[in-house]
Amino acid sequence: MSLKKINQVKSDRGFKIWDLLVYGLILAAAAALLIAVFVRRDNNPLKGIIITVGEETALTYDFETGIAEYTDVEQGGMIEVEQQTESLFVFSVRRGKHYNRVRIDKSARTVKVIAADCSRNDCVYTSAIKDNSGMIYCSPNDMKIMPYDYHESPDIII
Amino acid sequence: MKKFAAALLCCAACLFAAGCGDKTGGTEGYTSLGKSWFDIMNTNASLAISEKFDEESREKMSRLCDDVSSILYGVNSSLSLSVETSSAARFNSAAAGETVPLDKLAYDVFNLAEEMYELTEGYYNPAVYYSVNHYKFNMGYPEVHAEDLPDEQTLAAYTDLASHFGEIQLYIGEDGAYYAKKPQYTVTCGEEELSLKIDLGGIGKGYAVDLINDKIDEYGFKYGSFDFGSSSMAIKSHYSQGDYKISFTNPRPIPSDEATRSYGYLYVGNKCLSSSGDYENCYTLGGKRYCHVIDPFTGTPVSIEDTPAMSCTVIGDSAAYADALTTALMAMATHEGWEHTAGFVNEKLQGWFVAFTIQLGDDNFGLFRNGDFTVTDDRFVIME
Repeated sequence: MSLKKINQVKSDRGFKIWDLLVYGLILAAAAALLIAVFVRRDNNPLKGIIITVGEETALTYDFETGIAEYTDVEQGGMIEVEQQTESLFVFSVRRGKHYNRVRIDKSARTVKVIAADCSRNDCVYTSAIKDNSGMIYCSPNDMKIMPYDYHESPDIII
Repeated sequence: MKKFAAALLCCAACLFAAGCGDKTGGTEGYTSLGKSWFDIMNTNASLAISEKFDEESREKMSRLCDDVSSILYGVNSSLSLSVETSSAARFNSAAAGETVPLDKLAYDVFNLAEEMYELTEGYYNPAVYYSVNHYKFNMGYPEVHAEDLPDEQTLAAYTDLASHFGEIQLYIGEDGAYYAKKPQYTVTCGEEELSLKIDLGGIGKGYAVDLINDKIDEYGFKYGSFDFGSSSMAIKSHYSQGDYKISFTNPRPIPSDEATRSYGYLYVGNKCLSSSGDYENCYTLGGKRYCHVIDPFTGTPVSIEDTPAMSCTVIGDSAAYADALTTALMAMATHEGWEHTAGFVNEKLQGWFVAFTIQLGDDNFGLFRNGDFTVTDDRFVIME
């Protein structure tokens, strides 16, 4: 390296205005990328769910208050409660001879169908509802579980 | 100079990132409203619309739901065979050679069915009614015994009769009303004389999806989807993701491996689609699978052949066309082989996405597709 170049480098020590501008832009780009990744996801926590059979509401469950509203099978409703603990609520949604067994995990705020008597058991294979884009639909038994603030999922199985 | 380039790169990255997060004009505030209809043409339908709903757009959504109800109940009362007064049911109960008045919707769907019959070289044929009925595919979950199945002579009569589908005469009378004249041809089956009967359920559902798709556009909703019986759909854009990820049901999933529930996927937006498979509306008898898709040239379910088509999906601009094509292509691929069917697709169905699967062995499957498609089950071999 020539003496002239060494002197030039020495005199350039510290940050010039262009260095600051470029570093600033890099930071802004990183922040924008992070925001872009997280804003696209609808990961709002599940507030509650509504279970319908046909056009009738069988049960609603509110995670905020922990209140479940339903009518028991014995009182002419469609819900047969099997287990109710601090963290779990397991029940069957019954219509005639048909049923879908549902587990609500109160602490994890998830809802899943764990057994059913429908032919293909698609509802049982459907992933648990974890946020507002989840939904479980059992076509043979006409049973649907939807979040309060339902957001349509971009993933469809045909 | 390098610093300028770096600065420009950073600006580009910022703009790209902003574009990713704001693909559909900002996703904040969007919610989805959905409504389902039950027991229409023996199946269910669901509409989902996403929007930044306010009072005005909620009211608009409510009017759209009313219009969708009218279309669905209109199609049901015109084409459902379980509605005795429907045009389709009255056509079926008419004698050979008789002229039957049709409503406008039935007239349009009859015309469409004839067009598809021509286009698919007879592989789409709604006159396979007697086979469908004899194999009990229109009866939910039937209990079928070997002695219930049709013999060769019966099947020959059914296919002979179905081959006269193209002879239905459709016309508008001088009174402006719509008519269909049933073919004069009949066959004798046992002691019964049979005249031609049709089942326009499949194409009718697709026709309804097309009408509803137009209706969604008319109301100005951009985001959402309409699903009629899971097999026929209209897809708009997704409010946050743009295109929907469409995963195709695996006709032969491995029960212990949930990842094999689907055999592949693609991304789709603003299209109509239909899918059909031998895993739906089927039963097993003597170790053989009997599915609802009938080969009109043999009168038998495609699934009983040695290398049957297992499933088919068609994506394009019309759900009615797609509905007719899925059934036809499954029958064609089974009867004529996949090469002939691939040639037909490449020649006659340009602009349509088609994927069909063939059972080559117990655990060995072939897949034909004419566009971008990601395969996730390595038991499927691409055929090209």
